[in-house]
Amino acid sequence: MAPAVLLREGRRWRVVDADRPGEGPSEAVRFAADVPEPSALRRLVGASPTVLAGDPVVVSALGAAGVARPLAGPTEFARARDVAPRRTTAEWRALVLPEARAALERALASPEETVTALAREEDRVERARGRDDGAWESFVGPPTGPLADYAAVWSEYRIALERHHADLVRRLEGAARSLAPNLSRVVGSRVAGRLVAAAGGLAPLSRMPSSRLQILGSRRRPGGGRGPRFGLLYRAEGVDTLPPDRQGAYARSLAAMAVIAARADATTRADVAAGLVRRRERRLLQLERRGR
Amino acid sequence: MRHADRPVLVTPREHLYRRREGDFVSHWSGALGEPAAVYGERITSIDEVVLRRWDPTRSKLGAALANGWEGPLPRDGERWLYLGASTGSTASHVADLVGMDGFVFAVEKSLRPFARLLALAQRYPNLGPLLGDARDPMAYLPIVPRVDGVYLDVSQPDQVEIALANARWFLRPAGAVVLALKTASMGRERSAREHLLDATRQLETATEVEETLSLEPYHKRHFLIGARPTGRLYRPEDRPPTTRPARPAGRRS
Repeated sequence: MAPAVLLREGRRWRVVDADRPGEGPSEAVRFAADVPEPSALRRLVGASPTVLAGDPVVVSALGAAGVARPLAGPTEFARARDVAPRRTTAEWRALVLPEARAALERALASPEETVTALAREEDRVERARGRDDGAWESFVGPPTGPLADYAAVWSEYRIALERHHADLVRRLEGAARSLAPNLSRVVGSRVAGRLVAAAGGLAPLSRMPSSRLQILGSRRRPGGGRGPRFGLLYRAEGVDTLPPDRQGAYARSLAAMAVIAARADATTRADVAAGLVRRRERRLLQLERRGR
Repeated sequence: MRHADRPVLVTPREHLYRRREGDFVSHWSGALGEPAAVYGERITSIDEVVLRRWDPTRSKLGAALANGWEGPLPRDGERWLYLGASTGSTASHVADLVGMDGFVFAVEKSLRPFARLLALAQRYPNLGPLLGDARDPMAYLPIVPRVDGVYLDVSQPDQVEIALANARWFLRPAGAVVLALKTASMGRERSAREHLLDATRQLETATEVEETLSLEPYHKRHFLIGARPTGRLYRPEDRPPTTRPARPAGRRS
């Protein structure tokens, strides 16, 4: 039996024989019913054993009606598309825009996107504060005249910005802890959030080799002479307690532990952090002793 | 600014205008959006048609026009599939060219550019954004119909395969493929010319290449390629894989 195609024309739905699309509707229509009742849709689809949905509206309606088997392979899809009636610009727009809006909303609602957005924003505000601190230090205000109270006004703004930044950090850390609990404990939740954002999600991060995670976020590139020792990992737990000549070794080990944590977070969600934190502390102690 | 001539309609292309600005001939497209400017480009009007200046430094198709592109272009009433639309600066010009009776399906993968593309589409009558990966045409196959042209600007090492795979599924037999080739994405161990040669050779397996044009000096190591499908494009046994190949050697990220 030739595959049939389910088409929507306004509020009418019809099943069209895909092999004879050129024939007039009186010949091709096998069954027609008014939807919205899901039962009518189910009946419509049930009349033909190989119904394809050639229209996203049809797909979503079938999903809502609980019809599980409407989707066929790509070739049939392409055929269904060629049978579908020509749409006007306004109709295309009405079809595509709501889909796009829903797709974006779905994508943005994921916890990874929350972490990414927070990490970007936190990074931006931190840079803004750094620039402001530099300006604050070099600013010399005249004691009289219109600029006399400027330092006080500015300082109020600086306090507000600091509070805003602290709030962002708190939100970022919370989001990172719930998305990647293991990684957050191994490298610190703020760095964990930034790593996820830089990698473009937890899954890409978990697929990285540790050598790549180690320099993630670094502006320098490996190659030629001595490459970068760390990127975002520079801010991770323990790095600043070591003298510079041992930080590279520590970053290497920490990156190895961090990918293990990230993989656990991305896949099994098992709690592996305790062991990794112990390893981290041991490595830190070992490097502190070295060269003494 | 120096004296500039009145924009003149380029025939036989609808909605595309030229204007002499000193030694440079600028291109303008008839704006459909409201407000007209999309990315801060200059606006003018002629006979009550609002025109947007097509900035060659911001758009690869714009750069090709500035360099004297004679290959396929979107025409009035056509439907185009635009892959790698980003925030829509070039896609909006394409939408201008196809006019109110045409439609542009703009595919973008990254969320943040897509959000801006969607905001643009709200005020553009014939621009339809699709969140998806050009490497996976099946994702938007249920939505996108057969189109008159495929424009691809994705900066991927396998950009030619992506273009061909999409053309197979979406392009009508007499349509056009326009490919913005970024050779820097194809590995650094070979020169831009060699990459161009490779790309055209690969395109020739299923299409007829009509025009290739360097986009220097506006976009370094970029080319625009215009091609028309041949019968071989639709032969299923020639279908190339659409999976991501290994990273080319010498590419650092």
